[in-house]
Amino acid sequence: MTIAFLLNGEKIALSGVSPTATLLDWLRDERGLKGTKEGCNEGDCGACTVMVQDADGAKALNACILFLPQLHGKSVHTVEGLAAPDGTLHPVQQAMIDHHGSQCGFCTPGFACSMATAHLNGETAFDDALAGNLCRCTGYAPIIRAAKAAALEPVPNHIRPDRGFFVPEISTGGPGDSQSPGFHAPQSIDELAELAARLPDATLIAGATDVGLWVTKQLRELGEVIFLNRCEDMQHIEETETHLRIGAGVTMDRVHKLMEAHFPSYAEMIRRYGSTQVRNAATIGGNIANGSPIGDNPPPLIALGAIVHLRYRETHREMPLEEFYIDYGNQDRHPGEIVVAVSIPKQADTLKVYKLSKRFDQDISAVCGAFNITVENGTVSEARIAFGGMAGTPKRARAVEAAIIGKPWSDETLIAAWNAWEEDFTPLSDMRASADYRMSAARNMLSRCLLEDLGAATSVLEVRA
Amino acid sequence: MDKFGKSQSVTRVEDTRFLTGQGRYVDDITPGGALHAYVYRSPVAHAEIKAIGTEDAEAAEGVHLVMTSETLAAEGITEAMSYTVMPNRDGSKGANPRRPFLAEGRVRFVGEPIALIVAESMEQARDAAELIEFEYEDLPVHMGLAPLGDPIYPIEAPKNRAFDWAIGDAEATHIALENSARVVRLEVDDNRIIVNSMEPRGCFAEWQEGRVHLSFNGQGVWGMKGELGRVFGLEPEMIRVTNPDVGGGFGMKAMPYPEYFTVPLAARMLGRPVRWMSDRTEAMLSDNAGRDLVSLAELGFDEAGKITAYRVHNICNLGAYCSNFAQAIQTNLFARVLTGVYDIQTAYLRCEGIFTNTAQVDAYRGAGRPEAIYVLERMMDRAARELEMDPQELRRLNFVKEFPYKTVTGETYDVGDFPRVLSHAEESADLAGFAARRSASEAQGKLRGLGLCYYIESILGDPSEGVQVEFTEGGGALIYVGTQSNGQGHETVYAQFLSDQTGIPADRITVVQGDSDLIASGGGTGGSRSVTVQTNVTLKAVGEMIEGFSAFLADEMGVAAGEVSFDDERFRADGSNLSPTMLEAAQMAREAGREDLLIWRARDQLPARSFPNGAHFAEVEIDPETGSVTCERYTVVDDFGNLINPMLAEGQVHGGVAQGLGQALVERVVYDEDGQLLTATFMDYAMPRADIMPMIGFETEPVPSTANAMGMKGCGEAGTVGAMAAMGNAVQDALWARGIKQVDMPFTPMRVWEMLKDAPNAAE
Repeated sequence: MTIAFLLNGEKIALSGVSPTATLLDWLRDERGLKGTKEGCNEGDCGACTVMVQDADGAKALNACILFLPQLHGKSVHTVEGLAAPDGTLHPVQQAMIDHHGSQCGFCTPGFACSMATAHLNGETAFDDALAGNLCRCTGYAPIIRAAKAAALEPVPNHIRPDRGFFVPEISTGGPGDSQSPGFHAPQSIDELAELAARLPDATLIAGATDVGLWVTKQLRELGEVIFLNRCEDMQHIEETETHLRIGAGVTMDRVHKLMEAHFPSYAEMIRRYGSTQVRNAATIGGNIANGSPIGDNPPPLIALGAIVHLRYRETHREMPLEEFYIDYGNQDRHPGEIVVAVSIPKQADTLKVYKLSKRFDQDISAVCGAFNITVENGTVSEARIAFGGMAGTPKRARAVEAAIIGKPWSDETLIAAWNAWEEDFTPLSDMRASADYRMSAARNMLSRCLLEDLGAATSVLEVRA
Repeated sequence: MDKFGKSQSVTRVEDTRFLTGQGRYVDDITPGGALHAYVYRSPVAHAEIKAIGTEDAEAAEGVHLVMTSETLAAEGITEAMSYTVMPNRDGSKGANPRRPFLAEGRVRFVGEPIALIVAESMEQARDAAELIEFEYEDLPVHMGLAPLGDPIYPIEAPKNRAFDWAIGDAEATHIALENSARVVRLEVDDNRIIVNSMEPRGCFAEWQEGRVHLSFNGQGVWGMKGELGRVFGLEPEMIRVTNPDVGGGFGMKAMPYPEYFTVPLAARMLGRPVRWMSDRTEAMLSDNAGRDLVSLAELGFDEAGKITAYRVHNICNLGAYCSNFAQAIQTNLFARVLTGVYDIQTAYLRCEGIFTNTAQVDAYRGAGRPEAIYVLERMMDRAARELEMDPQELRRLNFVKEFPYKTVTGETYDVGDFPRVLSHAEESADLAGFAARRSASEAQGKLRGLGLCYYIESILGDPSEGVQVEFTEGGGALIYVGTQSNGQGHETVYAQFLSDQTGIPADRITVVQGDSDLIASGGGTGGSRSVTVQTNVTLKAVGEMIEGFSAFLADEMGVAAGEVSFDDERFRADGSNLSPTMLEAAQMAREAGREDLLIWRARDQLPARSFPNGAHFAEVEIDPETGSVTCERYTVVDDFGNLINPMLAEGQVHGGVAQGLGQALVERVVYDEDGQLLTATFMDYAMPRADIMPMIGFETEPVPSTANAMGMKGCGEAGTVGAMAAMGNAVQDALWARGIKQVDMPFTPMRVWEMLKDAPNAAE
């Protein structure tokens, strides 16, 4: 199967490559492009950041956990491709020099690519845009100054996307290509459904922000893999009168934008979901299907009453998301069945999401709580509350909900509901938090939700353990 | 022209290379066909080795070699890693147990190298490592920072104590403290950190006709060259060591590591180049860690608040093995600035070095000076509270005011004007407005604190350095230097300095560093030495150059030698129309066959050390509900003497402060009771991120050093030296009213929240 993409403006067509070869290794070992650096090989440091463009726009991505098949039909700029062909530096490169934003230079290529991507997108929240890049020399301020200084400069022509390319003009082969054993890249949900049913043990790869580490850190042999990135029809967001339907292949940066319009508290939480590079790769379907008890999407989705859509060949199923999670590591998904979408009933925005982790940026939640509480005339009329990190699965707080529905929305009600928490949850102690801490934090999150409703100053930015 | 040049914030020439991805670090330039090495490391912290089964690994596909300590012996390598040993108080030598290249008999920390696997590909080497059968019998693990517990070295250090060293007059200090009107005591904990240069460690080695080339990402090539000679029994001319671009060192990369010996040996055995690069977790397990000590300090005062005596007892962690300079850090180097900027002539420092089953601990940015200043400035802050004096006034009262000043530990401070620097800092930090800012914080339920650190540090490392300036046929100049950039911008600074002194355009000057074949000797980077020592010797070379060309040009111009002068741009003489530039003079010399004028070598030693100093004010806000600490304001006023490139100096300060702030606020190394490192990825080890960094105000109040012609003082480590105590004192200030009297880094929300939870004075 052929993988076709643009690399710094040059057309590349690869066949016979290992499906789990990372872009970072390929750039350095096969192409001799040594500018992209390995700082951690697990998507935490950003030294390997590259700019990837497709019809949806430009994204900064970590090359260390990006498999080559994920690049099909896209345009990649590495640090070597930021300057113009005549050698004129990109505005962010020049600004980094002018503001002394580089010292040892090792993290610099990654910063330059993140900055060039933000520059192209007109992104000016630089702390967020650069939160996925670590630097040990500068203390960051000169880099932030450089990003601000470059923001006013025009985007160089050679960085502008070449829309024409995204119509794949190179034969892409088909699922039966003998040169790439165990590597499949279906072009539609129909194809995927058939393939997944035929190969129920295959590993599905969407953003690879988790699976990438299975390869780079755990050195796992994945066997048969199915890449989802060519299933364009799985990447749609549909808005009807009653629902938001989000395809499983929609990346978290797009979910972020969507939620900014509909549920801003959810969007604010996503700001801290991985880094820019991780959000740009990770998909909502991957996060749901992965089934991790500390995934950050399930709590708000469950609180919103989201429905997960499953498909096995031509058989479609759907269920409330909370019913999808049975036990730790066990979801209500049959072998060969795939998650195709999640849909959220539209409602007035009463959602509040709180993520508690040890640091603000790019950290795994100790507890993630989502509260969808409707109050009428001072009385709780509806409540859907869900947590991550409080059980072996993302879980709804049904006893707590029952204890507050129909009661005044007040401190007294929350105190009266005290014991209900223990009916709902028996959290674990682990390296991220103790059981007691988790339980206290969860209770406090509901208090915070109340206080916020009453107009007290609360900020998700303070939620640090 | 001043001897320090024009003091301009010139942007860096190396940046174009770094920004376009053309930086070339050690893993970017490995020789074609190099085999891949992977280190099999101990999975346990302390165990008796029963067997290391390598047969299956050796038989694995693509594997060329599995090296263990037995292989080393068979290859005639009997030496081990070398290190400095400190003397004990009783005059005996400290413990010097063998630190092998690959584990012998026992493993002593998680991550200790046991075997080196060399294969065609990295994947094959890693796969083969999984086939190694490591049989062992667990031994009790010693993690505590105390001279007791089950011994790691039953013979050499039965109580796990490597040394018990001291400096100063114990008796006089004891008496002075006994007789003091007040004695302030505090235990100060200095948390362990992992250095985490963004580029991890790595190297490659190749042999040609009995001559070895080792390239590694270090802080200088000559120390490593000597070590290879010692271990492999090679004459100096048979060894080439190079450092390419280096992605941050911070002291951690200054020291030799076992891989820099086992990789060359593998290359020799296999007759092929061999490369090795650590991954992030491997680096976290095996790099030298930093800090990790606890100090009990006592400071005596008379009725008026003058210091009478100072006594410190350090207990420092060495890890399981002594690294290169480990024993010297919390002893000798700590002692260099033991008494800081204060006039204290009665002092005593004792230091015990403890073995634990952890990775070795050695130099980290500042190496001993941040630790000493952290203790002393925490003490001054505490003393001001207990004596009920203003912290700035207490410092002013005790400042050294007359120079040169010989300290009780033997340093001579050449110049300084500490009151002036402090006054400048007080103004820049707007101390006058602090009360209002504190009230504003309190109105929002927050605690606000202000902390001062007045630091001094001494530039260290080899005070001598060499230089060679060579005029090229193309009409430019090469300058060969003995220092080594790890990202500080030396290529720019040295070219700028030479340009200032000679008029040669900076873009015609190329800096050459890091190749023992091209440069015979040098001191590398470390101890904030580089720019001072290198420009000092460059100045000497330039002086000789001007003298030599003047004599040559006198003949050409037809005047007496004494009549030719050089005005930083051109040679001139009355009565001659000729006024050649330095490059033109070199061209004339070339045409005249005067090859002797085209290469200039010099070697010089700084007559004395210089002492950068300055005041850091940190202002923090604490949310008592969560324990979250934020640094709201940060002000630095430094006396670095004269600056060649203020922008780069500010960059050094800013980055240094970030490392100090990181240690104070977030960085923490956690080993479990079995000696497993729990903070071994960036997910679990908190690196400072942009969100914790304030914008830093940086100003200077120069008092030029008299210890070198340029009046410079060095700036590479100063930011880190000042930042820790400024932050510690600010947090203490914020928490004092709650009755909290013991605050130790890191000030993570959980730790601060726990302090507040147990505080004697609850919130109002």
